[in-house]
Amino acid sequence: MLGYYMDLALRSLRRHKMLAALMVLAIALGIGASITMLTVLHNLSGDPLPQRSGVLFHPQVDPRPKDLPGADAEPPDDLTWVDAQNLFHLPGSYPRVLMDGNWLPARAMRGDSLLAMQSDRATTADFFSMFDVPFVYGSGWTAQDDAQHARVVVLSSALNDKLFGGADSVGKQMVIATKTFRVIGVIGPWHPQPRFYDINNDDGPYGKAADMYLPFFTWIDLPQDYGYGSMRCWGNDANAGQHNPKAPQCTWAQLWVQLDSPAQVASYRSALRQYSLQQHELGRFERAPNVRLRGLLDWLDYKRVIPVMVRMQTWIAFGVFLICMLNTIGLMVAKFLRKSGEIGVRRALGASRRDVFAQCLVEAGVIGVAGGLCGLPLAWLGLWMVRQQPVSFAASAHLDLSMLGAALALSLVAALLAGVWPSLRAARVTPALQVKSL
Amino acid sequence: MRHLLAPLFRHRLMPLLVVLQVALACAIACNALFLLQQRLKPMLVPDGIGQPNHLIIASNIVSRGQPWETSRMRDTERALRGVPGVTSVSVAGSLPMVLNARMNGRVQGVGRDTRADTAMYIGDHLVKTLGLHLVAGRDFTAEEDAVQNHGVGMHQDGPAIITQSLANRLFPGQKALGQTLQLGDKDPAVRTVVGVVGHLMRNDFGDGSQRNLDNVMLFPGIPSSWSLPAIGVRVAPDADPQQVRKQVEKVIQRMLGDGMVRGIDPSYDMYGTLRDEALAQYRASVWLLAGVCLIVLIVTLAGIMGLTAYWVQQRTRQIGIRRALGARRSDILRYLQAENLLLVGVGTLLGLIAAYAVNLWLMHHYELPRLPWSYLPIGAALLLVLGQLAVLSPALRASRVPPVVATRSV
Repeated sequence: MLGYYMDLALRSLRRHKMLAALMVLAIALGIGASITMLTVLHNLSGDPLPQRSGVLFHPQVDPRPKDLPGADAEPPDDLTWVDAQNLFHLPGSYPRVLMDGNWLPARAMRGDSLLAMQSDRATTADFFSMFDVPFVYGSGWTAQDDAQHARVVVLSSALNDKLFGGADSVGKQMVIATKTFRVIGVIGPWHPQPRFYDINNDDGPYGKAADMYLPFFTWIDLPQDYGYGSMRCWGNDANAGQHNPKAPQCTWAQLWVQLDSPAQVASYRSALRQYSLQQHELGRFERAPNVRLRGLLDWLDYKRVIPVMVRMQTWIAFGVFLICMLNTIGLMVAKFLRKSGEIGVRRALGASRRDVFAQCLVEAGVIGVAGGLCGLPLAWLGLWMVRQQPVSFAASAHLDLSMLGAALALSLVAALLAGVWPSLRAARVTPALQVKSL
Repeated sequence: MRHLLAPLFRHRLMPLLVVLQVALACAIACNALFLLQQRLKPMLVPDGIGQPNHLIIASNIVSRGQPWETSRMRDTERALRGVPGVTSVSVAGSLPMVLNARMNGRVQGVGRDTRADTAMYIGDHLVKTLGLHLVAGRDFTAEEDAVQNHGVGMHQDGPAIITQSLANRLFPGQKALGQTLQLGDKDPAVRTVVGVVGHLMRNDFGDGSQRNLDNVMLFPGIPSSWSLPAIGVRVAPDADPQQVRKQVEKVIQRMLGDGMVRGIDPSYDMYGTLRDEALAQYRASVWLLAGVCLIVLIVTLAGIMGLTAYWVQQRTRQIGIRRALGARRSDILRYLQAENLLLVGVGTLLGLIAAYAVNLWLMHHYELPRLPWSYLPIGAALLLVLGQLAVLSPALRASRVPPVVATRSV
């Protein structure tokens, strides 16, 4: 029966080519617009670490002076040197990682290796296990290395290719910021997007992961000239921390903790408040305890990493989709009711209302699939336009298989939904009246 | 009027769908157009730079270790001035369209309350190099330009040249010349306005500062202990800017090359090119939004056309009767056009209310400015015209219905 209905649907579409073309066009445009923006949103709002995002938390405290002009209620994103150290050494057995990132001059020991600036992440031992970083060679460092300010470094594959020709470089030596470091590991491709752990850095939340990973406390002692990552200072001298990361009015360090159970989260939160209270009583914090402990996804949400323009374009795309659906409903009603005579004959010959309904719905489905198929090139065109935007997230806007399937499914479902009401109306056609007027 | 309304209520479905579709299209088109205009703004603001393709901007000249010594910058400047075809050279902390070093601050007239968010360009010979148009006052004197600033020079007293828009904001209805400005709250730097330029665009035109893209201050002097200077070179109108650019690159490499950080290459671009690159993002999203608006309009046009065609067909017999009773073709045409005007009008009215609601919601969630009232009549007019276009072909067809149709099968 389905085959027969399909045949009928195709015949009917062929008969009213103009109307059919309008309906297909409407669905295609709607699908094209919404799939374009959905793909962008899908690429941007993905969970950067799906396995671990539930247990990673980002603590914040508020060390700002009481009367800071223009200050909002939210504590700063990052920590000052003192708080970073204190919170990192807070008792408890949960994994934690302290970090920051900037650029440092580096080269291999070979004579012909030129000094060049490389992006780095200064971090602590738990970084690699907490964030599921894959290793190609070697491994990360230990808490003992952290404590001893060991001069060890983990490289990205890209930098390992550049400096050591991609060979197993574990044990080799290199120069970073005038000091000699030993390579102890090379990591595989690892680029969580958005780069949740440091979204204030200059290249934005969709920036690349660093090329060198070194122990935080080793890094802080290195001679540096180029600032300490995403630093924010209050007071009159905005550059107070340029050469002195330990300046008390500058926040720049990120702390992440892994808390596996709600009980641990609660106890950490109270420890954070306790710490704030203690600092307040000591007179170091002028404000009453103002702490936050956001989970990874909450943190991304709070920081609104998805560009406002993208969110708004998504809403607009849905509006367009809605218009297209409304349009399709109108055209379908017009189309089905035009066939009233034909339907009357079918009903008179014994077809039930249900049969007529099914026939109309099949026709709607055919229109939907056709619209979806025509919409895909449009979505592809739309994404091509998105990629023309020279913003960091745009490059990732590609149509993948799941979005392709989603586009077809969406168009089919949308057309069927749009077809329900017109089909119902068509099924209510009274055969006697129609047959009489033939 | 009665014969216009009665059929609408008899067959409620078709008119209702038209009204709904128009309302939705209106709400979306108004907001999309508004967003489009927001993104268009930086592209339309006059940037004040004279002859953008005869201005070379050298930036990203990063010093290794110590910041650049001022004497070295002065030597470079002198060497650049010796290049044939160069008329003026500026060494500055930052320049227009140099996006990696930006200086912004809130400024207010001394003793006044109005504050304005501004960008600052601090360097020597800026007016001449950038080709700015002075509308009042004077350029900085040679002595003022010869000053060596402390650091980049933001927190320092001295003279200032400001843009007309900043002058209007800080000193409404008054002459800005001779007024004093202060930067910062505690221990502020005080600057005296000596000149006003027509326009100059700031180099941070992100979402936050769209309202004051033209608020800029110029301070004289050359930066000291600054590791990220920008150098502007004005090329004579009759010289070949590309030739001069190559020379400038050679001179800067020769003078400063050994002090630069390896791995970071300075860039030497025409101002016009930099501007195009900086605005590419805005241009792309303007295209995207324009595409969306176009889709909305096309779909609405197609929708109204399809629905009206069907509805007219349904009423063929009535139209035949009216023709038989003496209505002329033009009467039928005008009747259908009036009907469309009514439906689209109602839809537009609902749509404008919806557009405002959507805008309020966007304002609340995305810190978007309020939709200006002027958008509503534009959106309404657009849709009314669109409706008339859509109805034209079905209405013409209907007007050609011969009266004899009415006599058949009554």
